[in-house]
Amino acid sequence: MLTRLFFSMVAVTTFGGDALLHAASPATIQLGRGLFEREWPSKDPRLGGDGLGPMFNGQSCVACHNQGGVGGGGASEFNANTIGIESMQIKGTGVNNDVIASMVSTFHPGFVQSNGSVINTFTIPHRGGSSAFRQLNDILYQHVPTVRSEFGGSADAAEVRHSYATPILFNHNNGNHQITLRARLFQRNTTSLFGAGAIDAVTDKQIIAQTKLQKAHPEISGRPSTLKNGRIGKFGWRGNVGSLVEFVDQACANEIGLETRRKPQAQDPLNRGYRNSTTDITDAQIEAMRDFVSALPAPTRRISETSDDRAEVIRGEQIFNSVGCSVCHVPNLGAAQGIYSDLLLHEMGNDLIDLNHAEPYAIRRTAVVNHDYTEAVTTENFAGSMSSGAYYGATTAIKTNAMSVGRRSGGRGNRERPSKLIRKYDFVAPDYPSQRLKLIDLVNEETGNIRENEILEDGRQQITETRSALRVYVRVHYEPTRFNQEWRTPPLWGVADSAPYMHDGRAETLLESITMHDGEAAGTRDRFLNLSLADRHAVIAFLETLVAPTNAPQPRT
Amino acid sequence: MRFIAISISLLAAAQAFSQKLEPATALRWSKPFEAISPTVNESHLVLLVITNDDPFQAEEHTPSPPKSGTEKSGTEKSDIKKSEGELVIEEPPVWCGRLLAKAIGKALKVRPDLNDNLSLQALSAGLPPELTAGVPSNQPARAIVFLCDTQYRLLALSVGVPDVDQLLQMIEDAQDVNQSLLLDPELTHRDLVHALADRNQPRLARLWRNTLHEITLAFDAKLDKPIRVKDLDPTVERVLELDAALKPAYELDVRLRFGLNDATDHRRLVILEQHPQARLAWCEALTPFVASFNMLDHWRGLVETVWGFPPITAETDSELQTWVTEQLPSNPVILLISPTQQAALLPWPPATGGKRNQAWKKVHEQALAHPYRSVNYQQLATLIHLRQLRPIDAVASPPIRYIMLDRNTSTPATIRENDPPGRFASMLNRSRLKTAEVEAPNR
Repeated sequence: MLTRLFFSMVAVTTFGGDALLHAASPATIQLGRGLFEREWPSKDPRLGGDGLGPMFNGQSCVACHNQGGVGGGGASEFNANTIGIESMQIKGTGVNNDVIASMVSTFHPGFVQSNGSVINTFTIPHRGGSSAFRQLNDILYQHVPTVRSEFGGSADAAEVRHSYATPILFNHNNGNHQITLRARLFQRNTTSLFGAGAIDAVTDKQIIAQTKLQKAHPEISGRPSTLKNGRIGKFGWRGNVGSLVEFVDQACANEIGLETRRKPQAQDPLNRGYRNSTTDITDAQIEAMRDFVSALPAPTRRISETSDDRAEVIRGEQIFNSVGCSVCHVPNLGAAQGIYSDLLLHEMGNDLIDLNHAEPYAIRRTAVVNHDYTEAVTTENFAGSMSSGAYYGATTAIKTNAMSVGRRSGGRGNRERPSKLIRKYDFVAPDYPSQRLKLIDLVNEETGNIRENEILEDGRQQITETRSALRVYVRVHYEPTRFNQEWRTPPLWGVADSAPYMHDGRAETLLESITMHDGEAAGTRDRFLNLSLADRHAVIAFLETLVAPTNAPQPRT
Repeated sequence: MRFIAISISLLAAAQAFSQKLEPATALRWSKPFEAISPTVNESHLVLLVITNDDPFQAEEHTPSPPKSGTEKSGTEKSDIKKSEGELVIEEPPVWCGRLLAKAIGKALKVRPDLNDNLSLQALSAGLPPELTAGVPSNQPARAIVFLCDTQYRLLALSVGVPDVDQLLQMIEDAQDVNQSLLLDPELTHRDLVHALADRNQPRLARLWRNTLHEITLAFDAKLDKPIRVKDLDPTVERVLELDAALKPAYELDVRLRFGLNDATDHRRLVILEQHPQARLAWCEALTPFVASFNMLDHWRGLVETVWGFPPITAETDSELQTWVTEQLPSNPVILLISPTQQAALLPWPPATGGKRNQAWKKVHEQALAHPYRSVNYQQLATLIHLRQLRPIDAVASPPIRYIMLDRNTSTPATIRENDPPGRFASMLNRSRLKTAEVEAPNR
């Protein structure tokens, strides 16, 4: 009953309808395609909103999603860029949240939210924003040793690797405070959307079944991307997004700056007062785009020309299975036949860190109704705090906590001191979720006051007023995982036509991407490398048959 | 009349049938560095693959020359025939023979003009068990492919076994260099270096572009006067210098591309170097400077640069064998071991230093008073192999500096850099006494 209540509450804030392969009308698909390929203008008079921007990565969806046709993946030159603060120290007296915000702003004001809070990652849109904002971005990029393309992403895979390998070191004195921080440019490569409709139709149950299958595996232990709303994420490099329509919705806001009913467009931190008068795109339009993307054909298999080559491909697939690649790159998952993914998150090693982390792993949810307000509701706070649900992944708040006097968090994390005493504030981006338990309110209503009148011994009267409330919430229990280095198994369908590889496009070739597997996948990688050269060739020959659909729509212009 | 007609038609059918079933002529892999017939086309290419297979084992398994005329050297004209449209390339007796033959076969389909213009040579040159304490050490397998002209001047190289696309690119690059050399016999080395650097620059990522640019600048700065390519006489040190200049970029490159972080990942790197893409940029940056080098003089240096140990072939130094055979009955034999290219940069015995170095100097002089020869690993390996001596561990560190062979034992006595000099001195003294006994048994 409570669970049903919980999900019905969630449904209010998201799109309705089941994420099943649904038959949309050709007209709707056509409308969706038009929107997908549309070069959005700013100040669109049709809706009254500000249209494109004010900050955006591309002017249309197809500008980035174009490899092998409309909806394909994108080259590294279209990568989305994020700067993440790995560690930071502020020296000086009286460090409080205002000081943190002002000192971090000297590095870049984009880390400071409109409510004054500070987070440790900041997505830098490629285009738009005020000239002062663009100037700040240019200064920031001077610290990043990467050659960027005219589209804003790194010029090629080698540039992605270099920028990732080279941290940004920043020092600044402001009054009696000094900030020293270490940050890094993180990038996300454009994913292919071919077959996205089939992925959308994969059920949570089917994904959970994969998790159970892997429980007995000695090396691999994938876990679902558990979203705040109780669903399982299937889209995005970290599975941060639950359904295709939400993915389209968030992409509109984040990539093109089209404000939707649920998702505000990115704000210029130097122009906080600016407000879009209305949304830039309607739900119907988003759903039409969803229908178009959903109708995109799934990738296919290329048939090799000669019988020798065909035999090599068959052998390659057998070896692919025998060394263990197919434990995660599962050939078929529900409606997604030929996907070669389990849609689970896997820990992939230290070299694949990105501070827009995966959703913390919620292992248990308990719905609670509380009429008695005296129950102590506490949360166990290990390090800093975290937010979740962001498009590129969740981020970590940078703040002091004056109430937790002198408490040192476990593991890496914030050292929190009361602001008046603070002479030094340290922040290190946590490797693990900061919370083991979180309470998510579903209903929190005051129902009335209870007034108690007591005469004390000295004759004074003490009136205690207790608010009576009905509170419905969910206790979410988290299992700590290395969420900065967990990635959803990318589907391998179409892999031959979707280079570069890995989440940020750092791998130019299939061989590079295979050898970049670490963490849980280290054993599989080593078994692959220990194959004979002919067998390795066979595996790669097999992967090269996984191509983009031959009937993908081609760009009109 | 009708009988004759039937006979003729039957004969024609039989001929056609026999033609169809006639086994395809295979392109034979010839001996490395054999002289190329002067009658071949000047654009003729030689593909030489060098692997780390055991050279002695490979020698034993080398097939005997063909009795019929079906297998011929690729240098001879019209050797490659087609069988139902298929080219048949013989597999060389090296670990990657099948893969390479397949790639060549496919490449020749794309470039049939090369059918008569390509010689194939294979050489097994790994460390034999004779130098690795009897333990086979040719894993992970290694291979380098060179494309040369008929004078064995280097035109292109690939570390690893190229697939058809990579091989076609190599051939194109090799022909590009060959064309430059043929068109202008007076071509200077500087012009060749710049032309190839300009060609390769756009293919490289920024890290390698910068590295190539820096090496080119250093090359220009060092150049005293223009040298014609045909007068070029590069030293072994030149290859070492180039390798030293490329090494930092290569180490960074493979670390970032393949997640190789420390020395324990070395084995993974060697495996990855079976794929040409691992060292492709290194080759592209090196080629401008080594193109046109005479491979007869430089193949060992280039291979050692990549493998980190000298290549060993089954080639025998008969003069050394004879000398050892003559000396051993009466004298123990001292072998001064010529070190690898890298170790050769450090003098031996140490020129300066404390007591220990002085002691080595004295013992070294003492050793020279005995019958001795300076031998390299190549000579040492064949000596051990042919005399069936007990294998030594020449790969282990610190390096071996001396070996003493005695007629009474098949175990060579090895003296390493970190051994006490006194131990070797005692061995030398004992051997001197033994020699004296042999020379004057009744004294």
